[in-house]
Amino acid sequence: MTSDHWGFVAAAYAVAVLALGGYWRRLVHLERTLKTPTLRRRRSAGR
Amino acid sequence: MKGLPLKPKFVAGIAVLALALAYMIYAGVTQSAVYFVTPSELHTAAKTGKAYRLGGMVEKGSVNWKPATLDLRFTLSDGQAKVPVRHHGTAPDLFGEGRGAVVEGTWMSEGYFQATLIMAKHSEEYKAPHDAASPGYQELMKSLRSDQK
Amino acid sequence: MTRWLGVVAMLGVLAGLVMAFLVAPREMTQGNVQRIMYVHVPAVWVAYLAFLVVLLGSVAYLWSRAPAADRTAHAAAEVGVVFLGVNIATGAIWGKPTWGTWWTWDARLTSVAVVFVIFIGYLLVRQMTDDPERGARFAAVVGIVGALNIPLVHFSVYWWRTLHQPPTFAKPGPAAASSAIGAALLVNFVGLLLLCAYFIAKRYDLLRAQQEATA
Repeated sequence: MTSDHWGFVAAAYAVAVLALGGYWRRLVHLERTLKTPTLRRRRSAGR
Repeated sequence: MKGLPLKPKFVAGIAVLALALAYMIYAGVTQSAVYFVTPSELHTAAKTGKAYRLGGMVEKGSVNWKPATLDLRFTLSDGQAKVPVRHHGTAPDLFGEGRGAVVEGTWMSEGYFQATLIMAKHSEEYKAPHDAASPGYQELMKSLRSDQK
Repeated sequence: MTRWLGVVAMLGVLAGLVMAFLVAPREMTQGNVQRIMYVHVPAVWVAYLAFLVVLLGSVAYLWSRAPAADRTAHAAAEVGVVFLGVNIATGAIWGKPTWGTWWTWDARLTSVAVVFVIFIGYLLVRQMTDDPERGARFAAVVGIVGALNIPLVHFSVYWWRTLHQPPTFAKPGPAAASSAIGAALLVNFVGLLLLCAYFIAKRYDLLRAQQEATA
């Protein structure tokens, strides 16, 4: 009766994984820059 | 209190956001408050050539679809009034007889509604296939509701 | 501590995916496209809860001026924006094949967009001044205003005519869905809630480290 639109399902879950995974990577990156001593601190402190 | 000066870049950013917000609230109040008109409302004050969003139930037995020409015709009803709708193009999956639909388009002087966009308004019910065998409470409510309309 | 929360959240999200794709049945009317629900709906519940944390943190900050309250609100706002973004994007992807449109300005979609914009404003307003305390005060006010809009989003489908359908679960009376669908939704909600808590905890730690580094 209705088509399943698996492409849309895949797209929705891909968007969710990219957004949540991307945010997680940003946090990990921020953590790394904070651990690197001096100099880089001022840059990372901005955000 | 006297705080430090505000950074121009961010003041600009906030201003843009504030404007966007103001516009959205304006659009929300003027448009979303009456997101669509019902067939009865359209009948009482239909202006030819004016853009409307019209919502109602798709009348059972009214859908006439010609795949060769992409010509779709059906009737929207709210229980009291009926509006014939014409559209060129396909309809979404959940569009169907006895279900809700919202269409965007204009009221024509010939006495029909020319739609440019067809949207299906689906119910909040989600069922597993085996549930269908025994119509439960929700099913009953739904049938009562569509009988009224 | 935070690390363990991350591990548990990961397991919760995986369990959610198993429920969404292997346990939950193919929905009768919509077909498999309905599986988008298992990320779309929990994402917005989690975002609401994150914004509730912003509300509490903001009120506490204005009351006490405790940096910890501001950090909590700041972390929760950022994470809430991410989850609300996921909700809006997956909703658009779900809307196209089922409703026939990616977006429409009905009361539900408009009000949720307003909340989204307010919390983006929350994150920007903090950077508007070089004085972090002043930024935090501005942000707290924006955060409270934003969070107070959430009931408007929830009840918009009752108060106005909308294209969006009313709630299936978050309402009085019996849920309008099969139990397997409800169970899959619940597991996904728990998974995303754990992920949200992990993100907020980690962001909070980083904000504290940042503030200590600049102090």
